[in-house]
Amino acid sequence: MSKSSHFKQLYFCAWAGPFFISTFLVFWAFMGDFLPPLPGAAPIEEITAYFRDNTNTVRWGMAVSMTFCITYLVWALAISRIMDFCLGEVDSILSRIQTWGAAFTVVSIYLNCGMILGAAYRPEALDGTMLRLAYDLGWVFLDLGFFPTTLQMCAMGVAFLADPRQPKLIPKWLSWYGIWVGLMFFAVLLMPFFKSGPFDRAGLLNYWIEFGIWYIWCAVLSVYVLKAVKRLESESSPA
Amino acid sequence: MTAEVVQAINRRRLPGDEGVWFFIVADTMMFAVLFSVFIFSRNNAVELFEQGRMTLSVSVGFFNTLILLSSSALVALAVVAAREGSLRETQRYLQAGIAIGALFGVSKLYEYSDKVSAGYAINTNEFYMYYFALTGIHFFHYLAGMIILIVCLVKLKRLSGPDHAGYQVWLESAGCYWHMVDLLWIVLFPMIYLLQVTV
Amino acid sequence: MIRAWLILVAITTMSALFVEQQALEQITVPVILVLALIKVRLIFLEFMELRTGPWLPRLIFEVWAVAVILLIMGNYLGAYSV
Repeated sequence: MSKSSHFKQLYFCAWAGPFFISTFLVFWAFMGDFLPPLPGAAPIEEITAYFRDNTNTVRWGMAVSMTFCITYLVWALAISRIMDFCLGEVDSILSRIQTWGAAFTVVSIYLNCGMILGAAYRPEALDGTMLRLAYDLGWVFLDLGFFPTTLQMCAMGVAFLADPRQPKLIPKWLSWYGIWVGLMFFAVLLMPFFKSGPFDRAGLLNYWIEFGIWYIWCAVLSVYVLKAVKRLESESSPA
Repeated sequence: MTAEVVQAINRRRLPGDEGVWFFIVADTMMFAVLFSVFIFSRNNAVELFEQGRMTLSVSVGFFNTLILLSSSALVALAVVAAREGSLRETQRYLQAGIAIGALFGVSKLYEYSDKVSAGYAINTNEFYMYYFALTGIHFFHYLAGMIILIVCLVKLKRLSGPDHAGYQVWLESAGCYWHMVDLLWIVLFPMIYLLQVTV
Repeated sequence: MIRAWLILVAITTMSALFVEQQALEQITVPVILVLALIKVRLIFLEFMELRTGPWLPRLIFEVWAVAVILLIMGNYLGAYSV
């Protein structure tokens, strides 16, 4: 494979990041009305209203989110390549952990969207407890599927920090920030025990802070990934 | 004179790795949020929180404070010893710091099992939710700190040759993290165990 | 280091005595919180070496410590009037 087509593919993967971030925000967060989600203590009428009153919005939101959430993995492939450049290895274990971590993150998004979409398929025929179960399951899969993402973030942090370049391809603070965000996810282990308050799935810590710091990480990293690909391209081409 | 000033400016350095400091600052900010959440919830249910607080053992808490302070001091001494090049001393301080630090884990596990056997759980009421969650998140940080200190000890034993600049960064970073665990406990303890209502 | 540790242990013992001695009920909590503030500062100035460190992290920790202690103190004083 020629060098230029290699970098074309790498750019394609790197741009999948901003694409994921924006589709996730529009179709999952806004159309799925997950800003924030209904708390565990939400009355059953609110859950049924969520499915029965916005049926088509939710269907479109979930269907498009499911379609495109794989772009998170495509983006992770660009990250893996950058990690290999940092480590000076081909197909390193760390970059594999990172890729697989991203793949399983996508699985929990699939499950989340699938549960919600399944309930939105015929909400008029399902009673409230069924709809609530689907909603709860969707959030259990998303929140408690955090550990692959933690592994992913820690693996890339370690690889980025091992970069001998000065300055590093990905700045140190961002690597540490990612590791911190990944470890913060452990707080969602408390989510199954609460239906309100900060540890609830819609609460201050387990929703606003966890998803907020993760989303910021995604956005900032996607910029630095593009920068890193650009630098690698200029490094590889003779001046 | 000028040489001294330059030297003083050069000495204005952050121990350890600046990336680790980013982590530490982010973490302490997170705890500030958790403290605020606790305080605002307490404001809405002062009596409930006071009842819960009365069931906690204050003397064990003070004991834990002394453990963490002493362990922190020993790790700080280990950092100084490594900086001066005496690796044998570093090892001894580090071992002592880990040994004393381990007592915190023992005492905390005893405290948790005591509470659980007395029938209190994380979903008993709002006070216990915060008690278990906040001390639990802190305990998690403590465990991570212990593991990092043990890694430092293992790395020290494998150190060969006189050049240990890389190790120094490791040890200083680990030390600062460990002091943060200590620092957070210093706030957490009075907030949960001592903040009494005196009428 | 050893000096800082001795001061920290002394302060901790002092606050333990304060808590044991319920005689000074109303001022106990503010006193304990001020002692905690002194301890927090000693930890980040001496153990974390911010006294000789750059100004930014020190400023962050100074502000953090005062803000957190004031928050807790304010809650105590507020709850007291309830």
